[in-house]
Amino acid sequence: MENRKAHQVDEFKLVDGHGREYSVFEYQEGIEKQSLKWIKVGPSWFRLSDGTAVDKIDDDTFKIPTIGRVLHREP
Amino acid sequence: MPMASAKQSLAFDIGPKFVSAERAVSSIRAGSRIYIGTGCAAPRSLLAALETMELRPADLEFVNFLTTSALSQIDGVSRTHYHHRAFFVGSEMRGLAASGQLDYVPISLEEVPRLLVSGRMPIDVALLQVSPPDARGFVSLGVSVGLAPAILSVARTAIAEVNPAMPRTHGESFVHLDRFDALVKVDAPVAEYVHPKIGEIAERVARYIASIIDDGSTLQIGLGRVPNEALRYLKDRRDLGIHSDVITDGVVDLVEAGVVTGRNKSRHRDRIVASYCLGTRRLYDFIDDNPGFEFLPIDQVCHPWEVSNQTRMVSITQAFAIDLTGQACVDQLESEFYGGVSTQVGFIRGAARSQDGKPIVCLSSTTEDGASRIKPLLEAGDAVGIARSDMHYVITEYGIAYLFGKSIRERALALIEIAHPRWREELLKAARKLGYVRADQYLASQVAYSVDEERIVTLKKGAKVRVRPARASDAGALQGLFHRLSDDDVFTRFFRRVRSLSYRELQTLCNVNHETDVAFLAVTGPLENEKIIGSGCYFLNPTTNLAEVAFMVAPEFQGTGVGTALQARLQEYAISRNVRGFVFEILSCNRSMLRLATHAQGSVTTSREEDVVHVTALFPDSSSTSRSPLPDSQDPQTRQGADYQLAD
Repeated sequence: MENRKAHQVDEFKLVDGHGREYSVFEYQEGIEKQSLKWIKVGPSWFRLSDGTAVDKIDDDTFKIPTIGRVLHREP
Repeated sequence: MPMASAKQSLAFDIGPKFVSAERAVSSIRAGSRIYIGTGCAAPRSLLAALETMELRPADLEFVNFLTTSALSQIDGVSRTHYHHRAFFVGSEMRGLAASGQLDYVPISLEEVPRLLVSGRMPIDVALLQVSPPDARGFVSLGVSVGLAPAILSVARTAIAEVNPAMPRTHGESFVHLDRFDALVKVDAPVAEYVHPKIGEIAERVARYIASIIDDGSTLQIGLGRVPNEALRYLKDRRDLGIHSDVITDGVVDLVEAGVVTGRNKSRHRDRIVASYCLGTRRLYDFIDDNPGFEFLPIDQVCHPWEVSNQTRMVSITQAFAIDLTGQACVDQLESEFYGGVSTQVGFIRGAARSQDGKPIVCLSSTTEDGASRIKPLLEAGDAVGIARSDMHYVITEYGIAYLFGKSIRERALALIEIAHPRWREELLKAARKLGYVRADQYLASQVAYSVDEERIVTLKKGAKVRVRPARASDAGALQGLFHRLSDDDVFTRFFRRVRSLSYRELQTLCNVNHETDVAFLAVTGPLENEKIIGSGCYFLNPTTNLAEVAFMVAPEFQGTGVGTALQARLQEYAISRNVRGFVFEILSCNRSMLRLATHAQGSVTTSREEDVVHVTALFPDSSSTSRSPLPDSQDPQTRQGADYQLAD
């Protein structure tokens, strides 16, 4: 039960400077305890729904590195 | 016995009607169909006269509902020269099937009067036993009204034994002597019937039955031994009523104890309604000239409409076997006819439609030979007496399953969980094969669901909830709890966003072995409409002997003490199993859970890793484990679930 694996742990909306909305998914490596609690054991990484990588700058700021677009959390 | 009415002088001459039993039956013609009075009201001297006639009329057929002590017995087997047609195969009739002397008629008893009046079952002669007449010439049908009024309305000839020992009952029990063609004086005790003593298993079933009977309920008890045993466990109830096809001595105890008052009955208030009784002289004396009892024709007492008009109507029926979909066998098992449809269908349907009614079917989980009475399928020779669509409560010595409105999968799981532990794995395997349950369905626990582990807990604002062990069949309701949680609640519980819990995940939280993996649920509402408002579980790490704990509490109950109650119950359970302590993984933003965990019993230490706070609570030595984990003001009042407590 407590094998390390990668898992989607969150999803949230971000917007770019033109107000365009993006769905971003957070993945983590971790273990699922028997209680079904997810315990993170490595770094998180982020992807758009089409698999495009997204970098986290800080809690509210993200960037799509391939096109240099900065995204923010919706207020 | 108060039989003053029998001694009153009569205002008319009945002398010519009184003849000997032999003379009375001598007029019965060959080929006649003869109805004989029910149960303890069977006219034994008339029957004996017919059996001992030198020149017996040919091709007589006796029709009866239920006989006790009516036929002579040799080595426990009834002996008769005649053919019998019975609506119920009791112990007296059972042996006659083998000799071809019995025809069993499967029919709801309340339908019989219609059958008679329509002429589809002609009756030539009625043989009854009655009380002596009053001054106006009315006799009472005594301990058995039942089918007699309908029979007397169609029979060409009516003959009665007049017995001073027959109680004079009230209700629609009176018949004028004019109706009878011949009368036979008898002076013998009315036959008595005592239910054979039941064993420990049946006693446990009876206690479960009693546990779901609320104050103010109206009861139908039926003929079964177990339902009658359940009466013994109702001494602490208030204002019960009786509306039953049959009553027994157990009713007298409840009336004398002030438990049965009939005060809350919506029809026939303050009266005990029955159609016949089976009991001892004590019961007969109690009902004699007692206006608190109304003995009514069977079709009036048992009609589903009449039954449904009682509020809180509880019907209790004993079955021989039940399949995993809820079809019950009540009149034929392994090809042998025994018992009958009787009044069960009418009462079950009536109770189902009664406001707050409870139709209950009970059975022990195994036969005397140890075979499971809960079967994957009923077998050839097992008849369906109660349809699965009519099934509500099923009770064995291992608990209560509520089936009404449930899917086949839910029914199968619920019934397997009240089957004997020895048979559960086999039943589950068969259910998988039949496609009743998922191929990956398992049962982590092979032991009985323990009612002793239930607790009634009073929350901070006075609401009572039941904290009980989780079962595999709780998965659906647990999913319901999950979907009531806010996104934040889900995140703080699972440390990730979760849209839905898979079936496997749900099973992890409720289908537990109750040893290393333990789950309790906080529930509200009656059994048939339970709502899960909280879930608490722990999973033991055998290496450390510490258990990881997790909770879910419905938003509307957060802050009311449900989490505290679940934690207290889990602690009590863990300590009783020598678990060393609990560990909690809590997101630092989850202040209420942090507060709950740090109030755990014993010595508490905390550490933090990024956003997760680890709380370890080592339980104190057993000598000090009775200390409350919370200040008195917050301590939920817990008590053993007295309603469900099984002494053994």
